[in-house]
Amino acid sequence: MDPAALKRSWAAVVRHGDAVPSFFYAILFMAHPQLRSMFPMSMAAQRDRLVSALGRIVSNVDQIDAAVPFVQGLGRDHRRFDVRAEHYPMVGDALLRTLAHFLGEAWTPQLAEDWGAAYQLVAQVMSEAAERSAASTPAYWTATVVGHERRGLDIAVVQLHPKQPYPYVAGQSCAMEIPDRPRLWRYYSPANLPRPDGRIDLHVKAVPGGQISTAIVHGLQPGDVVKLSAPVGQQLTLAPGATRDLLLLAGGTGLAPLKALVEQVAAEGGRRRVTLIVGARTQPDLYDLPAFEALARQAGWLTVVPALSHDPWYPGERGTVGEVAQRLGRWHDHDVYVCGSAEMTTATREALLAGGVPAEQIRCEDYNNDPYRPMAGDAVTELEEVPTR
Amino acid sequence: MTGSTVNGNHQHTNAHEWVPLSAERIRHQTFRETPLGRRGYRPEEVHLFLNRVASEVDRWTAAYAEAQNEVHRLRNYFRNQGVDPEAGRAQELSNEAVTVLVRAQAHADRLIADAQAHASAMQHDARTQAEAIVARARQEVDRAAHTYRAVAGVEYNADREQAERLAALGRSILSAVSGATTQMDGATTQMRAIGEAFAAELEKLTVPFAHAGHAARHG
Repeated sequence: MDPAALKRSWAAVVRHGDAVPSFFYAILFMAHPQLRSMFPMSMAAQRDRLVSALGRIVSNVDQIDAAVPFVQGLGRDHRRFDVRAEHYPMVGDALLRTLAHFLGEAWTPQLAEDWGAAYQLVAQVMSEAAERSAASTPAYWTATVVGHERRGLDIAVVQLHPKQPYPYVAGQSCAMEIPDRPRLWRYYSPANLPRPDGRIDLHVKAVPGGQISTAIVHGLQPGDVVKLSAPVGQQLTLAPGATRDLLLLAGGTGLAPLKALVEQVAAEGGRRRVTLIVGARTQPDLYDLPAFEALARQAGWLTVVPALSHDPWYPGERGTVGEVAQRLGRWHDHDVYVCGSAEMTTATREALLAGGVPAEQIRCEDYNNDPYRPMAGDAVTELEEVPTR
Repeated sequence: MTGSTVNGNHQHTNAHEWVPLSAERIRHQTFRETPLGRRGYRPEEVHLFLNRVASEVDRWTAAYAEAQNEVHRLRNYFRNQGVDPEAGRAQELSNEAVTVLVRAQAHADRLIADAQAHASAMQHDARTQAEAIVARARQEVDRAAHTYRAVAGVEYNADREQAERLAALGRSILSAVSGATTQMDGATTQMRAIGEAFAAELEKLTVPFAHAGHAARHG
């Protein structure tokens, strides 16, 4: 195998841009029409993913050792899309045909053989990892919607009852697929510690134009059955043994995982002082305040401060979460958890750093390191598949 | 047919005039004798062996013919059953079909993106309008309270001020709602038009699909 030739040929193919994945999917679906239903109706978000990830991984097969954990993760994760072992050769065939099409004369029998062998290697790592995980974990969990409560203008609190035990840690998130939007998955964070009855609360805000979130807020009903992926994320979980007091900064429904953290602190005896700043635009957007006010009355270790950014009549704290945090004190000796939209997270993190909080004490979701977005640094910026707040 | 000589055979290696080596030819193959004084194989043994080779060739030829017949029979059987035994080889997909499918998908993607952008803009507008309505209502409430205080003088009554505030709030919201209702009709028509265009395009997307599959099989 000639790794340099693989890389060179891939670089040449990539220059054809969007035409490459379009061609790939057309070939794949014409040869195997039954695979079409495994993908969403709009392929716009999908396009950059499969093909570019595949091409990159396969053409870097000489460094496969370093990529093995990542490729294994991909293999495991693709189980929720119903990917099975027999699909790998179909995808490999379409990939090779695509390369042949775009490389023309440069597609030699030797190159074809190298690509075939490299793909085989990657597919094997993926399918073996998938097979191993199938022994212990379901491809996805199904859960029944048992509660759906509209709050404020565009928020719903959804309660799910998983049909099998669903183990997770406070601060993690899970991808969810709803019956009205097949093949589209979005991340949401449980807003509670795992309960004895297994029920999970999700906070969902209808993002303007969002395909999934609007359908969840306006269409999902008790009795509907949704799918959940295995829980992911280590960024917003409490480090075992940590003792520093906590500052929790929430923007919108980014409150959900932080609420689970508050429950965890409570369950561990309330030994850490917690200051929670709840960011929202206007007063009706403070969708979960009564629950927190009740909790704060009982728990001396908890302080809850709402911060409204677009409500000039509000008698309490006005401004962004970052501004209010700076106004309220110095937090250099706290562990700080930030959860909200990507912009809110970035802005708040910068405000905290400027205010003297060490970077290693600030924890927020890493949008570039999404487990479903292969290869950090991809130029994919659409809303799809990032945790939605 | 008389046996050809070994030398004669050399001429037959030319692929263009290939004559199959039949059992009969093997059986009657002759060899020139070695010059006196040089050693050679015993002619009887050579002929005995040639006979064995010849009957072996006979057997294989018969077996091959039988297998060919079986292939024909099966091919006909499947054809009569409506199965195309050549389908596996016709995997070469026509460029035209690929182009149709690529274009249909791109069109669908663009429509969905447009619909999303449209929905997004409408939701943004709705949000902004809602906030503006509330803001205006609050201003009017404050103004109503102010007016009441100025007029009431010594007869000021807190309950009465609250009533004035609520009345102002009600009036403001009511006028906003009636304004919104007239806008609704336009929005509904617009949404229906989007829905219809979308359904039509969806139809187009599924039709070339079936067509493409067909073309693939025969292209």
